[in-house]
Amino acid sequence: MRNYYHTLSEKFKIHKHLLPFSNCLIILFLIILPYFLFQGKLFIGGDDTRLFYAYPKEYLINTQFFSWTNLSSFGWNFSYQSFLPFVSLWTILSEIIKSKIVLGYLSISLPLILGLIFFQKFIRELIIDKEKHEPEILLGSSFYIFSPIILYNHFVNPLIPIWLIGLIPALCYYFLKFVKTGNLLDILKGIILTSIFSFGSHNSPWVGGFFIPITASLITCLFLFKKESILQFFKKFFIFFGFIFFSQFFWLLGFLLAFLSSSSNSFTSNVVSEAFSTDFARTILATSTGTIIYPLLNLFHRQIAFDYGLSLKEIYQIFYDKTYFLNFIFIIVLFLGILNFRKTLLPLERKIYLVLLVAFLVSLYLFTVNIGPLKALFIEFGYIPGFVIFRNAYDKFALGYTIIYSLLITYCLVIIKKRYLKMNKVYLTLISLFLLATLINILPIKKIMVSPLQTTENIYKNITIPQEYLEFMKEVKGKIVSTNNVLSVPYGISLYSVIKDEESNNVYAGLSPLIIFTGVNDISGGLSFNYAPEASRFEDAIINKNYDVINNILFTRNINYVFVTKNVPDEVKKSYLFNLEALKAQNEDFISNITDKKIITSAKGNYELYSTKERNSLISGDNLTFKKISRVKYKILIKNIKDKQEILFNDSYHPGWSLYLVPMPDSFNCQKPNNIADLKTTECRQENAFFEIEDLSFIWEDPVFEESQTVNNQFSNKWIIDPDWIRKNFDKKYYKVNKDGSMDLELVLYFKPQAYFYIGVAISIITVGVLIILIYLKRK
Amino acid sequence: MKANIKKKYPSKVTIVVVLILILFWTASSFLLFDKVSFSVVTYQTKNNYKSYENSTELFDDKIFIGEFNAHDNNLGLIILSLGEYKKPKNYNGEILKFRLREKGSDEWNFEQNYKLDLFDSQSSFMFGIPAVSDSKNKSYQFELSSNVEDNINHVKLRDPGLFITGYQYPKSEILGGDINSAKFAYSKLVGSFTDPKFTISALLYLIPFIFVFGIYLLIKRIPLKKLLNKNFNRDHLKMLFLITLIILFPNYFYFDFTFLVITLWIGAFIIYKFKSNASFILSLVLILLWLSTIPFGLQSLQLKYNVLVYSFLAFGVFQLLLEEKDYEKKKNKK
Repeated sequence: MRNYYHTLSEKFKIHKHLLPFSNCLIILFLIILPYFLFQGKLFIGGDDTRLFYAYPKEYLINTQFFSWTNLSSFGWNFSYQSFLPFVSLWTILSEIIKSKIVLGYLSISLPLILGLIFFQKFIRELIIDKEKHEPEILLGSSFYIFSPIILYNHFVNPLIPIWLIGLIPALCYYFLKFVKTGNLLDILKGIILTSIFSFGSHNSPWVGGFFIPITASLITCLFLFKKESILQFFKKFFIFFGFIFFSQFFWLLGFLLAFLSSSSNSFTSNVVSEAFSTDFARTILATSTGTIIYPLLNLFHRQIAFDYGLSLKEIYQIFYDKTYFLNFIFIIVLFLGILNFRKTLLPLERKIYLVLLVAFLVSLYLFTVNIGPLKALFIEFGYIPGFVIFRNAYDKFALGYTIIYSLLITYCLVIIKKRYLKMNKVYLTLISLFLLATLINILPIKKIMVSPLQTTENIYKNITIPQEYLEFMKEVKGKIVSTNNVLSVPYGISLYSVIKDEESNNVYAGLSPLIIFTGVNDISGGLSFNYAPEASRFEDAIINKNYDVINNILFTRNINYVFVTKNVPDEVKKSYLFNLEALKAQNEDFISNITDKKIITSAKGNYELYSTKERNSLISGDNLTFKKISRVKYKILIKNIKDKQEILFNDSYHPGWSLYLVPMPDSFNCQKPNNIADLKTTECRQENAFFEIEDLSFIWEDPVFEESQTVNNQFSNKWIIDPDWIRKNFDKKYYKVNKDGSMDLELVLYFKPQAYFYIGVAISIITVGVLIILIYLKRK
Repeated sequence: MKANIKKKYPSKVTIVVVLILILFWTASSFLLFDKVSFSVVTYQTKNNYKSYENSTELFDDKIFIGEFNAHDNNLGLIILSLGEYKKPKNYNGEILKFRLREKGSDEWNFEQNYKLDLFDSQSSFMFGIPAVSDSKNKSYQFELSSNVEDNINHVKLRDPGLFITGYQYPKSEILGGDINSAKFAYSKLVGSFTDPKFTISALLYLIPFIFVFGIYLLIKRIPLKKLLNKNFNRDHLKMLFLITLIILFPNYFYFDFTFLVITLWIGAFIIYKFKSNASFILSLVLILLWLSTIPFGLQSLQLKYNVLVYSFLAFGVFQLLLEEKDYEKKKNKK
């Protein structure tokens, strides 16, 4: 009999070249894939627009740094600074790679490439004799990145969490390396990656989707490991993730403060509201209809696809329903691994395997939910504060489940190899079938990713943004000051806008990109009202042609312009994006009743901009002059104030908006004053300052009239200014007394959480600084 | 020598059990899984009409034509496979028209309009007609059309080249005890088992037979003692058999099915000290059973198996942890 070990070593020589070659081949495939899928058009749209991949500079300038608002809606006052590192880096990249198509496509390939690389690195750290199991590791990694669950859940609409495909394994890899070696450099590498992709970790539900099952499984360590080992592990755990945690304070502080904020407009108050909690149980009951069998087959829940008529339904009918039996090989591999692990693995590997097995069971449950009485238990979890973010568990736990399943299945492949070392044919047959099933699963990738817009048959989402639209955006930017809001028509049910492709009926359907191209926020659908009652009032008013109500809402919400898109394809009009009744009512009669005059028309007449009937101002008050310094800072000059008077600030209410009295005379110079006579208010040309050192003083400085701040129109901010109080409490340098006894005073309106952002940045820098010093000292 | 000869043959009890199971299988298959009444014999029938491919989507009054030669007398049924169709929210009473005539005849023997909501989520549809007593070897033609205007959501024929025709046998012929009864039995068997769906369904009810037969053949070859418990004996086997029967026929039990199975299994674990492998193997068997139900869409059964698969997996992992702990203890003692 030929020595099998000899045969294996011969094979390994081949592997030496074959494995890097296979890796390169997969990476090449991933790079080419978007070109094959989208054929030279941008794949944009959806809940995060994906425009920042193609237009990072515009995104950086118009929305970032001061970003406390969501796109195309009234502010949620929620920190979005986590985008900053990536968008800055991508902007630099865009200076090197000029093609928007290449940049856009790279954003699709790169998460999968990172996933492939870091998953291999991660699993290598979990296997003791890893060099003997490179083929299994590569196979497991392919199982991971080509999992139909990931492809469907994260690539039909590739949102930010796609970066977690690479980031989570990368973080785990550096953590395990640190646990093993104690090398602080691994923490630094972890920090760099986490910072670049901080907008990925910002999507905490998906991060939780991985870490919740893993944390639950760590309880089994109490059974399996000695107390000293557990303590050692947790010590390193806290060091590693402690550094990571504090290094992310540049966005995390704002994020945490938003959670602690009691504001009615805060993100958290929406997320933990009663409506959201009730919605949790309802959503779970409605959507958790799958069983654990399809996830075990490495497929997304079939039942959900059919219940909700998802695009996946058709893919099941034409493909997976015919090939699912091939995926039974994954279940065979899983069970062979479970039945044989004790015979083949080393003691430490056995323990790791058991921890993974428990994590797998937990994640399988969380991803499926619908397991008899466990479904009711999951609904009970809804009472845990914040757990409601997992209300669509089939989505939030999908990535975590796939990572854990892939880790376990890779381990099972290693077990099978060791178990059937002497039965070459059995091993090769299993491996070949496994590879075959993995590859066959990705065959419908084009059908998955290039699917029609939901509820349409022929409208696809890959487009070239028409030059007409881009030119029009430039004109809009020149005409409208960013202190205004715009109503986008047709007004839909979510907060999406539609841009039609130049040649075909394909569309961009996603968050309205107006703010990205112009810096001016718009309201494009029911969700733009941030769950306020106006959403339904506005739609009802459109349907019932109640133009007084519409005009009143437009005025109170500081919507002074109407942007009309006239070339929305008919099939899109009938899609889920619009309430057909409301859409029909948005006719010429509607436009003429809510607008004053047409301001500009695009070259081909597809886009028009109008002013509204009645004009409001972002800030208003008697004899008030204001100037926008940045998205978070306004200077206000009030003249001749005799008695108490109001200052209205028509942006979403937040207690963080604070007024500070500044000494007079200040450098308040008003250029290009625009007088809004009805409001007795003048707006000056904005300054667009990036950062002023005085901003830091707002951290410790006490605001004025804090107690008088109230919610106006159930949405915005209102203060009562009392000149007597100023006279009593402030030195004369803070105000100017006029001959008639009235007073002139100057205020700064500042969004205080922005100052916390600067504290966060300082903490991040200090954390990294401390780490670098520690690394330096340790090397010395 | 005598003793050796005895060992070669199964006991009388085994023969009786096997015969009962075969009888049970045949009866269950015909009574529970056959989609038509027992007195109807069905045949897979080829569509002889050449150009049917372009009219399989029934909307805008497009006409689908089917042609076939009747296999027997008393033609009374035509079953067609359908694609996915959901009754629209704005259903306005649209209909599907079915009519049948003998080929070459100018007049239609039978004509019927069906409301489209009858086709909602149906994978096949039975078009019943008054039995044609002398249909054998005659050629028939039928037409289907619909006035629905929606070119996306409408009734579609899934396999227009093949359908099932059914023939109603009179009671006198079935129970006559003569050649006609034998002919009916033969036709029923051939007709049913040439339908792949029926055959696969019937296989489900063959499982107890396979199980007993397999146990009989393999009991000495499977390393059950190694796999389940080193003291594995007949008591263990009975328990396994009982649990398997409950799993296979969940609807026969009036208790909470999953609770019963899990309780029995935990009992078996405590009393007989089964290894974790037993739980995992049972879990794998249940996955196979679950997968075998896919073609029939037996959702309530799938949900029950779903709970059981997860329960056995979870219980198996729990056992594994205990075993690992024991292993560690033993290793430390050594």
